[in-house]
Amino acid sequence: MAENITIRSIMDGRIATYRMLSRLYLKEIDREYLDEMLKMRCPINTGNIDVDQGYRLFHSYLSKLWERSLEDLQRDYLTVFIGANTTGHAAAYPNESVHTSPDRLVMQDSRDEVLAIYRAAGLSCSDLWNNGEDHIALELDFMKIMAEHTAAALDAGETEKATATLMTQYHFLVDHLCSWVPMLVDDILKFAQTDFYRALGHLTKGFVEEDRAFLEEVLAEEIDREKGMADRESAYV
Amino acid sequence: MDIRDLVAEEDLFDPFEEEEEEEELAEEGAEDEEEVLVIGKPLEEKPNLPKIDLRTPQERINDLIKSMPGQKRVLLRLIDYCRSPRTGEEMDARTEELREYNFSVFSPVVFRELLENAGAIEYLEPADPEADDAAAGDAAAAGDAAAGDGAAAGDAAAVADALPQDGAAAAENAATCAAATSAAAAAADVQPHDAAAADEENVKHETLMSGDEEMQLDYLEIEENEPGLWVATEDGLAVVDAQDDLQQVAELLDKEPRYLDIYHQILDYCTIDGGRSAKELDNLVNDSPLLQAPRRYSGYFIGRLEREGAIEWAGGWVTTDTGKKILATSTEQAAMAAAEA
Repeated sequence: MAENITIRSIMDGRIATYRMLSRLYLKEIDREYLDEMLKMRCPINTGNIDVDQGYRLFHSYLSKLWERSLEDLQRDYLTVFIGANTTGHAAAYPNESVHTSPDRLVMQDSRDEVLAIYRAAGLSCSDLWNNGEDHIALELDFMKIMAEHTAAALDAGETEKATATLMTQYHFLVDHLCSWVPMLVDDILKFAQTDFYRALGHLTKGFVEEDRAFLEEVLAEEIDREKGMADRESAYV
Repeated sequence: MDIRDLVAEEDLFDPFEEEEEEEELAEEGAEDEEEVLVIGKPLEEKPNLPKIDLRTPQERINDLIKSMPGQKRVLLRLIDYCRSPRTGEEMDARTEELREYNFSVFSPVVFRELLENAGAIEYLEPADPEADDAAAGDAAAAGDAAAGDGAAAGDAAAVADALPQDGAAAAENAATCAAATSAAAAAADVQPHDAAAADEENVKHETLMSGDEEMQLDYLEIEENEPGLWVATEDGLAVVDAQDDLQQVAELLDKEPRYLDIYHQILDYCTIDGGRSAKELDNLVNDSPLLQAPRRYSGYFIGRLEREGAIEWAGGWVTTDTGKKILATSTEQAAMAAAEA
């Protein structure tokens, strides 16, 4: 019996994927999560080159693990995101501010903006988090949490609330993730020494693109309406 | 007399003349770039060749053991443990067990690397189930991706029609999401993926329904990877088999006949279950007149006995089987000597 694809099942997929991506950026992978990833299915021919490439690389890397793979991955995380073992002190810095501020510094305007968005959504950042709120792991986690809100609203039959939370995700994707993830991924591909982190880069880029396309489809009416209102406002001004 | 008459006109400083010389030098340098002066040149040109280790594997293993006297037993036991092939996990567990009373800053992985580099153990790669994976990058799957998605993807509006629950795995769902949305947004422009045909035989399919339309999800499952195995080399086992603790302890005792009684006292004292503490051994021998000049303490004897395998630390100093044999031999000899007397 074929399973039905529904907006709700897609929401589950989005939650799970954002959770996985966020976890992989948050810190080095551990044995437990690596074992979890071995149960993963790796889809191909999804229609997005980066998603396909990401899953293929994950599949080939995870199918050929050996006893030091965990160490290799932990070392590569430090190389890619912290800049350890690189002579130029360079890395794929995981904070949006670095990629969007003229001086490539952390804690710039982007951080203030995302912090305001988190607060507006009723979220506050953990006191133990000290890597900047515009860290890719937090931005992906924000998308996961908002997708959970949408799923809960769909379950409760609250269509308006579901739409509103989806709009928040759409704006966040367009204004933030889509604006700097491609640059981050370019850097990841430059510095990564394992296919695992190359896969992560490809999958992140591809998934963010696909998610934006999905939201644009689902929210076409709302986006048009919002655009019309904005046009009227600008005409009035 | 005018002092200027004493100065030869030719010797006068002419800044322009020097400039010309510099220019000439620069021109020469440009013409013949090989003659650039180098400072810090080594006295003898030595080719930078990789070092070749001329030692035999057994020499390398013995050198490794000598370089880590504190870990001698751990290294030998690890080699011995690999008489039959072991997985990395088994090796980790065994190393941790051996390190319980023998602290080392080296992790189990480092122990394995040291033994592997010395030629004492070797890694047997698991059989490669996907030898043809290398072809993945070159394979072309023209049209597959686009065709699959074109047929499969319902538009997102259709997707939104029905609302049943689905708790599938992240990867699967990500693909579902990607596939479902790509039809309207991107599928038409998708370039066929180069590697799409690579694992064609391993690709699995699942049919999903998007409204009334069927769509096919292609996916690969991560194959369970059989771990490689560590096994001792012939040279490694030869070094282990050549170890004769009994002989080495006997040689130690022969070297210091003056302290024979002290050694025997310690060996005898440590035969008790649970062993003896360092304090107890201090109390046992430190006041002995034999140790007053030169002044020796129990640690001197403990270290030597441990190195040769007569005692070991297991929460307390315990006499090993080798130590007990030495003790038994000496007791027999003493009894025979007494009988003769």
